[in-house]
Amino acid sequence: MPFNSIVFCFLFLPLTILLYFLVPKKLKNLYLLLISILFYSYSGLFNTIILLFMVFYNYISVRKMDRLGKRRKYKLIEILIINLFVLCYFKYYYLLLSNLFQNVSFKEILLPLGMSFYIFTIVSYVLDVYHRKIESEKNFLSFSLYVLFFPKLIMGPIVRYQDFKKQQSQEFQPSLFHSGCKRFVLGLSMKVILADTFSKILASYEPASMLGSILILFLYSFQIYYDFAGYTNMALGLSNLFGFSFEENFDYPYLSKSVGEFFRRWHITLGKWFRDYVYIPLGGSRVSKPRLIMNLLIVWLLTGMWHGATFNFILWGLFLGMIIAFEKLLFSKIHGFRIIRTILTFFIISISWVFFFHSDINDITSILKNLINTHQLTDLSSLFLIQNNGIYLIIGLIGITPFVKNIGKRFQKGSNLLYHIFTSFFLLILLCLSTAYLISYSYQTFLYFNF
Amino acid sequence: MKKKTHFFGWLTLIFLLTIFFMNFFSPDIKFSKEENRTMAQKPKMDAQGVWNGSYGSNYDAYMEDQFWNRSFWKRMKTKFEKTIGLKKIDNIYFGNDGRLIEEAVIPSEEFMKRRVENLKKFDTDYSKLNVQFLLIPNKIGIYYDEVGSKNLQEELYQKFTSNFREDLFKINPFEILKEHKKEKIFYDTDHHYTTLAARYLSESFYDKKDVTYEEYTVNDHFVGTSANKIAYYEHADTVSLYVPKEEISYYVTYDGEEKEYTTIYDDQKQYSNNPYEIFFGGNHGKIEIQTNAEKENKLLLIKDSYANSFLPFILSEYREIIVIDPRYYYENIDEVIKDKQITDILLLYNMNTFFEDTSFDDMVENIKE
Repeated sequence: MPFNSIVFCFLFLPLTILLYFLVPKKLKNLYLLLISILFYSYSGLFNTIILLFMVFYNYISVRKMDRLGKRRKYKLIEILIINLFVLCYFKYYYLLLSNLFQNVSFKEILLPLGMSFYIFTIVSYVLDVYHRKIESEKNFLSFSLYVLFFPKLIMGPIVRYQDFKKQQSQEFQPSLFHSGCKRFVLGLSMKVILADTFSKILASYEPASMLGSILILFLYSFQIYYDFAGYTNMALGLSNLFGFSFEENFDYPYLSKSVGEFFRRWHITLGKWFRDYVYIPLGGSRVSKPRLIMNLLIVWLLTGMWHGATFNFILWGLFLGMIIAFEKLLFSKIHGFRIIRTILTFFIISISWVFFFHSDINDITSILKNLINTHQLTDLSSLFLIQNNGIYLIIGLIGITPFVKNIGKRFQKGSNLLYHIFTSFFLLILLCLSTAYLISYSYQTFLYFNF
Repeated sequence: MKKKTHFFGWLTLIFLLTIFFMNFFSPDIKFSKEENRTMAQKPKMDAQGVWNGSYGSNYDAYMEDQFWNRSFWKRMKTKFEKTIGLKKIDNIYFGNDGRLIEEAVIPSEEFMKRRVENLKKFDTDYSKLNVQFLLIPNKIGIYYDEVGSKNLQEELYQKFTSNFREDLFKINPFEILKEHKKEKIFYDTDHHYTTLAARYLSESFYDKKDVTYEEYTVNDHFVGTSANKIAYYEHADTVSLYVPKEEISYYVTYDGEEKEYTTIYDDQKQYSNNPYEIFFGGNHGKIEIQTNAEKENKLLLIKDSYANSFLPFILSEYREIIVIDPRYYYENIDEVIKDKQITDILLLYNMNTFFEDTSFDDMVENIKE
């Protein structure tokens, strides 16, 4: 059940909160687990059974592994193979077959919702137990809730077990509850007012000039940011409602001064996952230069493949891997030129989104060709787009900076009460508008649901 | 101090719960007049649906369609976007004086190729008959300047018509409608042209100058498809009829049924949600009209809904008129032409429908020798 669906916002969520207040403290975790299973079952019981099987299997196997002495390595390999096999089967098998044998038709295998995220969550737990960073969880309920907790189940953030464990069975925290609601509403409006509007604009827009291609880059950058950061705000806000607070997943990434920095501020939890479980075990950056390049390319190839197995994601990953290797080797000592570096980074990242959005090489080249099309600087439909949707583009541009947040902070110093009244009023308007947009656009899925 | 200033959580919860209860207690509707479609109903829970998740997606669709005060929310979005300065929502532009202008449909090259081939074939197959084509622009073809664009529809018209013999297009509707640009030739809130525009075109097409008409107002609070599409209800249109003073008599049958009518107007539709349906009660696959006009010609009119308000002006020109709407008529049209000994064929379409709907191609490809 997506957070931006009417069923979730106006049926599941209010009832879940209401009942949460009524459930006795001791049963709250069990309640959250059952609600999470119900939440997930909405996308089909078949997927739920796979998910529950994975939880059950990993719980038992990791307990077993923890008790083994020298042979724990073999158990680890078994667990990793099973988890990655399940993920690869659902993610790549159909794609591989249908590409290899193009004349034969196969029954399509759909990736169960959130599988890329929950398998990565589980793998982080398995490896942390193996490296004795944490002890394996004895309590099956606690472990299941860690994997299944609905606010983060489908699209992250990918939470480490130690961060989750310490927050279970906490008291209801009013201030966390209120700020969680604010965050949820903010996230919802980012998704339905901005991301969906950008997606709608893109759907009926074919750029035919240099200006058009530049606009496309902005629209892609905005759409993907408001889609995923909006979702993450909803997820973190929802976690707050039930007394959990997790690590941030975004930190104004578009203000980064290098591509490397961008990915330390974009989808932070996935970046850390690859850093801790792939990059560092490969030797990290304390290796020879050729090895470093190799390590970076491996990590980025895998990051690309995590998003999808089509060639465009692989190209996307390799493109970024190369740029980051380049930065590390040549530009690591450059300081200053901050604004130019930020603009350049934005430009490179937005070009990388072209690979993200298109699996047809012709579409990609046509957009990139137009970027250097000096014969056709503008076209009527691009000019109209600016004229008509300029306001959305301006809001989009302001929203990728901490501008509004900073104003709020300054305001808060003046009068706390006034600040709360003002923000609550503003967010209530956003909530009404989000409802209006939700009803007007029929449901638009999240981009990261596919990954 | 801090606790007192936190209250947004309660506001959110109250908001969500209020809508939950209103959704729960408001009765489900079957058909939405505003959106002109049947609305999703509560899905039945079955094992397969729960297993593969289709029950969930059906339930989503149901809640979306039956949302409490659906039109209020849609209106809110449109009002907000208009306030922040949008000039186009979905595919509808805000023109001057409340005119809602639908975007021009530009067909793909593939579509265009198929259409040109089929129309050429049709024209050659029936070269012994008097075949004419009246391809009528939409609002965007006349008021393009109000949306700050060049006239894409007129360019399309020139490009398309240049493929055929010149006299297939006896008159150029762009010229005629542009002359009357300052009059009410299109409904502001609907995608149709007005009866007045149909009258001007018919007068030009049949070279009639001295007919006098009596004007009747059918409905002065007509809110059409364009307004409903974006839930923009700022003003309404007036639907009028022009009845020639010297009327001829005729009878009409619909879709091969036996019942004969002595009028083409359907009074019941006068105060309905779509008073444009006062002409023939809306679209039909096949309409047959026998007149007592002192003419020998028998017309086959192949058309979309733009013909409905055009037809009243041409009844006196033919002995018999067979009206076919290929969107709702699937039989071999050649049989009609031979059986009825048709002498004239008129194709009448508005450009947006003609370049979007493929039933014309299906019809021509379905003609068996």
